[in-house]
Amino acid sequence: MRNYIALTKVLLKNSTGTLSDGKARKSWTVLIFILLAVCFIPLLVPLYKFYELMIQAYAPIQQSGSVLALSLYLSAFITFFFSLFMIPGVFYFSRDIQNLLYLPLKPATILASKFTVCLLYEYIFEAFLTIPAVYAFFTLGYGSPMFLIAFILVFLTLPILPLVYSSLITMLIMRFIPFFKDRDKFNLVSGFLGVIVGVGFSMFIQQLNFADVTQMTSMLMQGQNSLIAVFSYVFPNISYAALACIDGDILQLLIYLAMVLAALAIFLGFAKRLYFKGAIGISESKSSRKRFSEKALTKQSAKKSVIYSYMMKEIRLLVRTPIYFLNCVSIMFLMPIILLISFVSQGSLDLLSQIPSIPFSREWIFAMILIGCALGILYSNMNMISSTAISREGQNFNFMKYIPVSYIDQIKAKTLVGFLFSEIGILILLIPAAVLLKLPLLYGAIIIITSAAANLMGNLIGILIDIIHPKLVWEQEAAAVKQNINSMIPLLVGMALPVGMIFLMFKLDSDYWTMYSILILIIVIVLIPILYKAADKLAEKRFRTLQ
Amino acid sequence: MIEIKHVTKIYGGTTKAVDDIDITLPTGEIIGFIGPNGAGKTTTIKMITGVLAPDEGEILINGKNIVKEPLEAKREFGLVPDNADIFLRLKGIEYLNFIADIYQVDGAVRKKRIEQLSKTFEMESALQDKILSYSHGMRQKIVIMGVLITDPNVWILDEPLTGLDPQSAYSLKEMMREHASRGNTVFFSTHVLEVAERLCDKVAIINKGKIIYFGTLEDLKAAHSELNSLEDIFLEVISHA
Repeated sequence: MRNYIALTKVLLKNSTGTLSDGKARKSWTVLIFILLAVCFIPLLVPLYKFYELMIQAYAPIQQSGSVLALSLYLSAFITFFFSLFMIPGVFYFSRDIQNLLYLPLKPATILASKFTVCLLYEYIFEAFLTIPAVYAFFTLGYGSPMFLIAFILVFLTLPILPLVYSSLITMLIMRFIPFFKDRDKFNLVSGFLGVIVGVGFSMFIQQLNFADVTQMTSMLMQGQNSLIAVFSYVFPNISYAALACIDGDILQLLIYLAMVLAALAIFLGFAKRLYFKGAIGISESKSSRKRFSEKALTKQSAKKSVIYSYMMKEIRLLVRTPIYFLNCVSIMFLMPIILLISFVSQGSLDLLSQIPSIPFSREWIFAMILIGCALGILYSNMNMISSTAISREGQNFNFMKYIPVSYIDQIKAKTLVGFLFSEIGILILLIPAAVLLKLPLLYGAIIIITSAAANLMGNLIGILIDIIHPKLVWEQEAAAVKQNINSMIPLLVGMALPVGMIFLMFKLDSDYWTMYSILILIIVIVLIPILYKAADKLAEKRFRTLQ
Repeated sequence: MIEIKHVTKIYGGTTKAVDDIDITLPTGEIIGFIGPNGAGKTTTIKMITGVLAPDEGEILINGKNIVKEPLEAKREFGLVPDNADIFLRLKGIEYLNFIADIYQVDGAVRKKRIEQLSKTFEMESALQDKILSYSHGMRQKIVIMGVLITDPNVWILDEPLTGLDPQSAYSLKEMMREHASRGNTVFFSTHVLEVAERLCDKVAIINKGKIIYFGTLEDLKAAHSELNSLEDIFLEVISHA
């Protein structure tokens, strides 16, 4: 136990240190959290409204507890999905593994510590999804002190089961499929695995919800929050958690906690038997030791421009580092693929064909400008490439300072890489969407052009945040992207802003769409040179003090 | 030539890591930089290479001020940092070409240098592999090759011999001699006094942020003729700093 506490403390310190110099740290952290809270508000309000509406609709048939179960389920599912990408990196591919393996520590201790660190990071997403629901229950008068106590316990333990699921999947794969011990192959396959798991899961859930309407109706008629049982197939503890909160039922709470403890025990048991055998020998990259042919050397040694060469360096590191590939690259391409496959698998294509195609009109042309801007903002921030561009340098940061390339040229190269990946992601989404929705060619062209402008702006904002406060001191690459507050802010703003923009568009009369979209486009275009200049000035100023 | 003019670096407002260093490292010589741990060697090298800005004084590399004309000054030197774990997921050849692109080395010239250097350091069959798969010594070699491929006028090497096999260490030392003999500057830090004794034309000994000796080892030995070894002389000199 003492080892577990000591190791967890060290791992936490390693992953939460956000500054290379110890000064201004507290005030900065406070500022960041205030900013984060402000960013959360536009996302939390609609979520709260949604839960409020659901509770009011379900209360007459005594099913309001299902709303809480829904929020807990959503949180558990998102934890599970994202941890599938995070766990392999943290458990097997992080840089600290080689230092931990030779210490006199039990495998269960190492994994329990790493698990705890992952758990703490999941609370952020969990808070975002569950607190608005609980707040809605309290404002509508369904809250009680017991509800609150039970919810706090549920909140603290909810991500455990989904994390155990993804941990077990990872441990089994790493132990029994040697193929995955090669990091590069792992990159490739895990991307596809992510698609399969994501799509499979969404199909399974859709079947659960809609497959048997009769059963669902009879459940509804039973009242007493019986609909909660729907959620118990994948995460069986959630229905107990929801009932424990709603009814203030201690027995349900105890059953829920017992299930969490059982999951933890299974996890530790597996860790004991599988971890070392899976982890040993994993960090070594294979070498071919092949000699160069004269022709290959001539071809590779051709002189290229500094910016191009710097971009290629960035792209190679992004694609070849498993943690970066999973968080910054693959996530971009998975989302549209998941959307597309789930549409196809659910027979929604028929539904889509019945949707009247978007009319070709002046209002909609301007709406496309706005949609393009929204897509650009969303994609430029979702991949975290620019917002972690400086942080990812870590201990190699000094390289940026002693090479004869100006900071702004280096920033340009890094921003362009973010821009490139985001734009490819947008195209992957746009092309099938345009075909399915029968978008006129002009609409597609407008979206591509305006998304490119907003994409550039979003990437400049991301890199600007990272220039101001890069996280350079880290032991494992995951800390540079996943556990980096710099990537969290643009991620949240980048999700909230497009939703808000589109929401406002539909709230406005279509007569105002022209003015509204032109205004947004002007803001985007004006911001690009301002942000570029700011990046230039700030890099000169900030980099002087960093090392 | 590296001119370090009354340079001071203060950390945290109070700790003087480097205290009024004022030396000129001439061309055509190999200068060893010696000092105990925490003496200020790395801070000095970081200031010379533009990683850190001095709080007082100025540094000129071949007449170019590292603070006022950073890009011009940086083109004058090549640095082998103390940590060779750099861009581990690039292949050796990709790293060399990346560095060559940064310094805009012509294609034909770099090809010739890659061939020569990979032969000298016995890295011909490793260039296609990722640096991650290299041993510590091989990583050190690829970083050294990255500097030599750009053929800078001034070589700055932070503990360059650490991890090198005897043959590569010998080759590097020969190359350092040859580079200096062509009228260039070689400045390197080391903890190994024997290396300094055999290789350096001059040594700069630093302790507690101050240069306490700068000159030839012969002069230093003559001044401490009562002591038997270079190690004893070194310990004697730093004990009086």
